[in-house]
Amino acid sequence: MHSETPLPAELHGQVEELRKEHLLIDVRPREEMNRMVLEAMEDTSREWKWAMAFLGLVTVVTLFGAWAYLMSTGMGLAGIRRPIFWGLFIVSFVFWIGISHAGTFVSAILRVFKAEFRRPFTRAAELMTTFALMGAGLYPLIHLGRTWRFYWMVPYPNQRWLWPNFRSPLVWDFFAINTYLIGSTLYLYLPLIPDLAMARDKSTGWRKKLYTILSLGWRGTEEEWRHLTKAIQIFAWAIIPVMFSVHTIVSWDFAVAMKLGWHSTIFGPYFITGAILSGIAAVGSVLYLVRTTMKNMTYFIRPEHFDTLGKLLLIISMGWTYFFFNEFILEWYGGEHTVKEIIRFYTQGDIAPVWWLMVICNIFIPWAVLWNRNWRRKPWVMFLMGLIVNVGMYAERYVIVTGALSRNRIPFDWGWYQPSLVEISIAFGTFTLFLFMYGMASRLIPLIPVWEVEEGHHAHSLRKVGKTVVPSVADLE
Amino acid sequence: MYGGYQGRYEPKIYVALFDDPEPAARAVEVLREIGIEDRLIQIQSGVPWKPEVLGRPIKASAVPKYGMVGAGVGFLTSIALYFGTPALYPLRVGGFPLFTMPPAFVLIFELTMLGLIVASFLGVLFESLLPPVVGKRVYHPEVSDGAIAVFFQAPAILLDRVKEALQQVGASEIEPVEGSFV
Repeated sequence: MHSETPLPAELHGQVEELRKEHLLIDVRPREEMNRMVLEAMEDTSREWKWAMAFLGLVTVVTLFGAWAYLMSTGMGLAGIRRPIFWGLFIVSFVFWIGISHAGTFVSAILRVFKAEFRRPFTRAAELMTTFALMGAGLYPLIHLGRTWRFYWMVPYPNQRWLWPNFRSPLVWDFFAINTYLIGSTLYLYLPLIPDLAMARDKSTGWRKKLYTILSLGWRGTEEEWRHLTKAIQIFAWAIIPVMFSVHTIVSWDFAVAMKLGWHSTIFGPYFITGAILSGIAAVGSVLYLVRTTMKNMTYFIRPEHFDTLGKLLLIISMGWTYFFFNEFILEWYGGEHTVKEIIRFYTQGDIAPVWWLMVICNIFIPWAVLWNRNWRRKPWVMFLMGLIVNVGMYAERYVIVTGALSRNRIPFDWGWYQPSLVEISIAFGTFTLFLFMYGMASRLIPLIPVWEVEEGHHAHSLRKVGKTVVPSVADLE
Repeated sequence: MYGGYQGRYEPKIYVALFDDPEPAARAVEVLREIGIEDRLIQIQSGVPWKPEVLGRPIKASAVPKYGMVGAGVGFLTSIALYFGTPALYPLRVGGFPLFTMPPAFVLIFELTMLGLIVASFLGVLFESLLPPVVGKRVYHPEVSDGAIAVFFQAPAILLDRVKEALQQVGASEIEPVEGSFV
């Protein structure tokens, strides 16, 4: 299938090294790649079943059980008390919206720039976006307390002539999150269709029936490819501003309030950078899990991919630090009395351990580790980095949401937030829900976009330059 | 006698399989030389090949048009929602204006993008006729394994000539198939 200019025999050692390093140089027949991906999908071992049963059970108890208890008893069960009316639910909401930026950033932006290394893991990242958004979407419902009234957010005429207030950022959230969820799900589904057709051709039993429905009769004709690739291009361009709008609007939930510590003009880009940071970090962790727990994944996901993600993570961490520093230094320099108290509360007050945890996890540790190529190339290091950065990002949201609310202009109205067990349980439950959905999806859909990898194989070749060989890329897209 | 004569001229669909785009492109050329028009040829592949690679006519996709229409519908919906709602059901609160532009941008942007995205998706389905509604369409499952399948419609009388020409350019298999192109 893959034609290549013959290279001199003395360069074979270098060629082997390059093949070991780069997936897109290490060509394998499509048939074999299909088999590897399907084998990974169909491997529902006993351990996997136990893990899924455990995660499912924990989710039912900690998330849905606790939520039902909260609904039946009342919001008094949550730790939110005057003046802190936003707690762990809003922290988790912002956190999961942030994680959802993984797929869009890794897939759409890298696709627009034709970054070749993206090919094997775009889908793994896109899947994170969809599931993270589903998790995030639960929180406004949970935070409502009376969840059954959620339809009040939906704009439709009713007998009392009451409409949602379109000037409220919470209504903007509704529109932005739904647009992003629909857009990112379709963006996940479109490039998946050819791989579902492959699975349809290779499967039997219930899987064949399922993939026959989901692949929509895809045959790979010129017409189908022309329309699909054009739509993927449109989606990649369209989903990027939608992604930016979503987290900007989430930041406006805070920034439009006349609340010191929130009312900031750089909250939009600051939140976006933070979201991309946590998203990329999460991709590193998830890719490690995919690589170590699924069959044949070491061929598709290699140290080169962790290395590139590590570089991205380092750059974005620097970007986040820039915005964080800007926000901090200007507020401090302004010298406003209450703002000074908020800064003191952050750095030396009761919430200081969380604030310092954020600084250590988002700046010190990534900068100390990710400059080193050897560490970036180690999958387990990137797994840990992903966890550490996300602990830091969760801490950041916790400080912004609950810390700023703890201090107001009048000391009479100061407070201290302690999350209740129900809140902690629900927040924990969304993590297990995410892992459960991801684990189930990993056995239902091809996690590697095989056609995109094959396209990459066709685009890449080895070229002799002087006394060595170098990978060379042709523009086939 | 007449039936046999007609059978020889009745066009049927055949498929030739190739491993690489180069021989597939040569096969298209050969078919054209024999007199089979482009509209009677269909290529199926496991990866998207540009039409230039396979020597096929370059056509523009209509999906962007669907996207534009969808964006327009989304835009108008947002205008109707944002400005129509307070016009129809005015709620005057504390001297706030009924119509404000800055928050309008948010709704207009989100619904315009939603329209663009959904319509582009539907555009792929409509233009590619997915999912098929009636009839069997030609397909070769080896396409999933990376083969390039060149389907062509030709009368049986031409088959020997076509077979010979296609085998010369590297077709691994030529066989008749049931179904239609679309």
